[in-house]
Amino acid sequence: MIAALFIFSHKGEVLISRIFRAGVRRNVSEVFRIQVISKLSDIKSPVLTLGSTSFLHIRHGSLWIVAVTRDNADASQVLEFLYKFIDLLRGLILLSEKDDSASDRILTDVDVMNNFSAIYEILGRIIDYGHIQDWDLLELKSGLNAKLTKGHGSKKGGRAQAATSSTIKTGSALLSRAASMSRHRSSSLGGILGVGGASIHSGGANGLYNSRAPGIKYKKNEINITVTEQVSLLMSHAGSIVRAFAEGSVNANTKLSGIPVCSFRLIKQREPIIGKYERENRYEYNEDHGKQEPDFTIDTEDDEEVDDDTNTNKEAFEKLNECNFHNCVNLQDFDNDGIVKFVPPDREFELMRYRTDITSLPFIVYVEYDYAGSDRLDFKLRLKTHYSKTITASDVVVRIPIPTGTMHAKINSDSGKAKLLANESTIQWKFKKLVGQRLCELNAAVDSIEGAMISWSKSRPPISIDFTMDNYSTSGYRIEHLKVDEPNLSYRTVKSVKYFSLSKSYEIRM
Amino acid sequence: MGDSKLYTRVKASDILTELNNYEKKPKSSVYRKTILKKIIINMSVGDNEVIMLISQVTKILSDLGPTDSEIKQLCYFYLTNYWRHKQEETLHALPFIVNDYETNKKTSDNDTCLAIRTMASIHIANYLNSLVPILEESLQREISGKIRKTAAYAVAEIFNVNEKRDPESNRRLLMLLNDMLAEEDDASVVSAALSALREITDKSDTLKLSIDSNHAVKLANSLTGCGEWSQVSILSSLLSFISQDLKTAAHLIDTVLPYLQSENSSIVLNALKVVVYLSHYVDNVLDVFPVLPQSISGAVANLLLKPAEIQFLAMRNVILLLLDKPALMDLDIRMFFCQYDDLLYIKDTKLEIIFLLACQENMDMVLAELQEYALEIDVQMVRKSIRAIGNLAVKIDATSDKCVSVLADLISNSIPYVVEEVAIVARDILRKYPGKFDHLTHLLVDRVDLITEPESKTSIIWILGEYSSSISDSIYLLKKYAANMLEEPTETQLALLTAIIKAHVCQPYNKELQGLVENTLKDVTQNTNHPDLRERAYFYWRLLSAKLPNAIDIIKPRLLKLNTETDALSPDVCEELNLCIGTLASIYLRPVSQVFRHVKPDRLVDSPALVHQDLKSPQVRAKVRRSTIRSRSSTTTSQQLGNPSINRSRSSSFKLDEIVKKLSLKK
Repeated sequence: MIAALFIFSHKGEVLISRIFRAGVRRNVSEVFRIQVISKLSDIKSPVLTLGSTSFLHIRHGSLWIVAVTRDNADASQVLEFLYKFIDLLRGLILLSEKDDSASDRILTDVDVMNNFSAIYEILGRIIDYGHIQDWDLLELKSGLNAKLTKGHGSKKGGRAQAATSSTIKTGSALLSRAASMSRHRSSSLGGILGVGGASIHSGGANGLYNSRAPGIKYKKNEINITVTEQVSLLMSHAGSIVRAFAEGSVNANTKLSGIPVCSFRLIKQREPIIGKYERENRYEYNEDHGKQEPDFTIDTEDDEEVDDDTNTNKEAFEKLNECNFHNCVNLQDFDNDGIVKFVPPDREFELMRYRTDITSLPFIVYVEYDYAGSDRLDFKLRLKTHYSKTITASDVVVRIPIPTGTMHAKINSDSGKAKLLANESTIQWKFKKLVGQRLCELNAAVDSIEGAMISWSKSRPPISIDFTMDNYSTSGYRIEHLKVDEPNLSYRTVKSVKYFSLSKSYEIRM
Repeated sequence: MGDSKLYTRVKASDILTELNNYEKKPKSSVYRKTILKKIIINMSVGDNEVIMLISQVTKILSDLGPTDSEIKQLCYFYLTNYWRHKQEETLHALPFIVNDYETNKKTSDNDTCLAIRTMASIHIANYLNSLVPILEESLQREISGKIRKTAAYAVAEIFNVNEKRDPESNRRLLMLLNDMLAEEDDASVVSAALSALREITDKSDTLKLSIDSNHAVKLANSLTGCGEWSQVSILSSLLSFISQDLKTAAHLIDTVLPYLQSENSSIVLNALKVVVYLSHYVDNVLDVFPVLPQSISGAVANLLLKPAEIQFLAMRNVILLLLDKPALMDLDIRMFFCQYDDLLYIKDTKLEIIFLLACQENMDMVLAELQEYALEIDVQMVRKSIRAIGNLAVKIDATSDKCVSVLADLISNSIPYVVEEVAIVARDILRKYPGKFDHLTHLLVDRVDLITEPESKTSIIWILGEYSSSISDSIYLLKKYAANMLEEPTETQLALLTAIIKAHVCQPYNKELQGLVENTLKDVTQNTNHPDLRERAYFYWRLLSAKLPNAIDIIKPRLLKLNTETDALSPDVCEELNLCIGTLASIYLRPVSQVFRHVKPDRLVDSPALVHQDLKSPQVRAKVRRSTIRSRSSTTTSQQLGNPSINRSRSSSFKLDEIVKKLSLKK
């Protein structure tokens, strides 16, 4: 239960204050400002309890969104709500551009001030005496009395700088910003589009939750499903995999008449991937990787591969464990037989998300470096692409952090464009397109000052890789048996499924 | 045109003149709306001068409210904020609101809800008088779900105020709410009624919400048909259900389990709460639900993909489960390895979990990871990870060698804060494994000059005193410390004094030490102002001059065995916290009554099905499985045995009740 809700600007001025329960004084906002906002430097926890009043806050760009609760409130409810609330506001206030950049944008204090009347109205609708209510974006939008002033928001990037304490600066700030950016991107999409609706028709004959208006009709019935996987990797300097997983997000855009029931299965297809890296294998041959030249030969048809192929049948039914679904999916069905069954809302929405460990890494970097004197550093980098030749990755950017204050570097690469970004203390190695099964090399000699070298060798921020790949699912999961069934209207449906893989935080420790 | 330029503080008197000026002009409504917005903004930013304008606001409300809904809701908002200070003036608005309700109740749900909500937030007698009949009307079955929900919450809102005023109408409202629970067609209304009833019963001493098993099953089944926040509310109200038999509890777990995969983290945590709660009522829960650890771990992994704040909450609850019921989870420790850009509190919590999850099997991986953190540049993180390594060495005997060799490795870099932290953890390690890791002592002693911070200085001095006979330089070092003794903080002074005496009683014939003891005692008793320190020095002095044969037993007694189970929570606290998964108390991991003084803690309610099972050790699963066949067959017999005994116990308690009643009647 939420007793009060505040929005603060970055300077700590109250922009929105709404009290839902008696027993909360107006000046609690002042308490929060003094206790948390002005002590920005060390935020120890998102929750602060003073007496029986607690403050739970999240940051959105430069804004602070704070919920006040009394006694032992359900923190999970409050925090989840704060994020959903912000996503709702973004969906309503920010200009909806079709391209990806819209979801990257964040609200500014001006956006909030411009729409204060509408925000109060929305709060009144979705919180009833502190109890959070179900809402539906479209219904909410159409019923608003106050006018919305659309805004452009601002570009992402504030949060990482504001939130991470003084610890990591320079090159790593960039890395962390990139990571938090993608984290936001992934979390926002689902929120805007996929908020559960108020129940107009509850429970159809098939027991599925349905928020569709009656009588929807399309000339051409379509269902487009996009599977986007964000790949994270953390490899230790010795070459062992600390963490390797893909976070998938299945988005569906449906234009279907009537009340259709859609269903599919997610099946892991292990095509014989060439040059794959088994987790166990990596563990064994890690220690002496620095000295020993890694084995670059392409192991096409080992005995191992044959083994794997025979295993495919078994693995085909390997069930995803770490996944979650939009409100419209019948969770019990999935639990019973692994079928994802749903009545889609009439718009684009995020259907499900999953997380799975990956066994095949699309890119691997081998790095060696030598201290050539106290102010010189030699790098030798090899980038190996481990996907099939028919697939091309685009916008591949490898970032190699180097000591701060480096002004000159001699860089040699056999392909791609490499250059020194002095103000970010990184060497950036860029490829517009990169086909599978390739090996690229880069040599660099970096001149630096002694002090910077020492602090570099202590911290050694990881090498990171950014990439985008079309038609490639890193985890190997594919959507199969996609069916659309509308019992009354029986029509034919145009179906399409697309796959993308993106890097999220793909890092190799040096 | 946005309203952002209206965000300035304005004096109430200025607004008043502005209003009076525009009153006469044509199209005054536009200007008056802008002025109203200014008033609301000043209220938002905490400028309470605008209270004085209440009669102006009510005038705007009655003039423009009927035509402009935005103005109406802003005025309502103003009134709900300030009615307390200006009750007289607030009364003027009542007829308008009642009228608003009457005109809209058939046409617009939103406006009707708004009117009800506004009236319920204003606790003035006249408002309540008008509100009660409205609520009775709105709670009827044929009214739309939206209005009934708002009305249900409104009942909870006014319940306490109304109880004193008119208990009779309160009882009627309560009955209406109760009737709503039985409905089946709209689950979200049921969830609203549940929340309202829960709120009422939480505050009341006499009323109690209890759900019987039929209803609980019905509620759980209705989850599929409602929106996310209703699901949250229904899930958490399932905790009011006290399972009387194993079967219902098991059935409910089965129904709720899929919700661990929801995208909404609150649903996940509430479902987890229900599962953990009900598992108390299912004997051998891991045999009945072998998938349980896997499902819960999957849910945890999903929660770790959420924003930092939610991750934090989830991980605090993971810690709770790890302390109490680790068998319910089957976690991959790598999930909790820190990322480069994690916030400090996330890293902290992850370290704690890594420490709890570490065991002999994964120790190599854990140590490699912790060593990685210990080489970072963030000093706080480095210190914490070293402390974790040290604690692991103490916690798990079998791998203490590995831990210590990592520590030794870390010291060899001679980074001051690393050495300081190792000195702190070394004390416990040396105590736990006497004589095993002398090389660690030597490494530390070699770098003793790097140690400046009081806590680690105290620690190294303790080591020097305790193991003085095996450290060759100990006397020289103690002497060096003693030379600057008076500049040290008291804590270090005390440690140093004790250490010197301890060294002396171990090597009583060492001339150098004798001199040092004499000098120190003299120095301390004459030059220090701190009473504790001086007293202790006198105490030692007398003890030594008494030449007792057993002085060594007093000064340097045999050390007690180190207790490593300090991080465990007491069973009572665990039981209570298990019912608080996802709440604020789970963040603090402290009993509710300690964090929030006026809240009565929830307890597990006794029922015939309540079992106490050991879910402590993660390995319990294997053991249980082996004995499955036996226990399965035995459960069937025990059930047969169990049923009559349930009846018996019930009937006996019934009789007891009757006896009590009779006794009270006699009085």
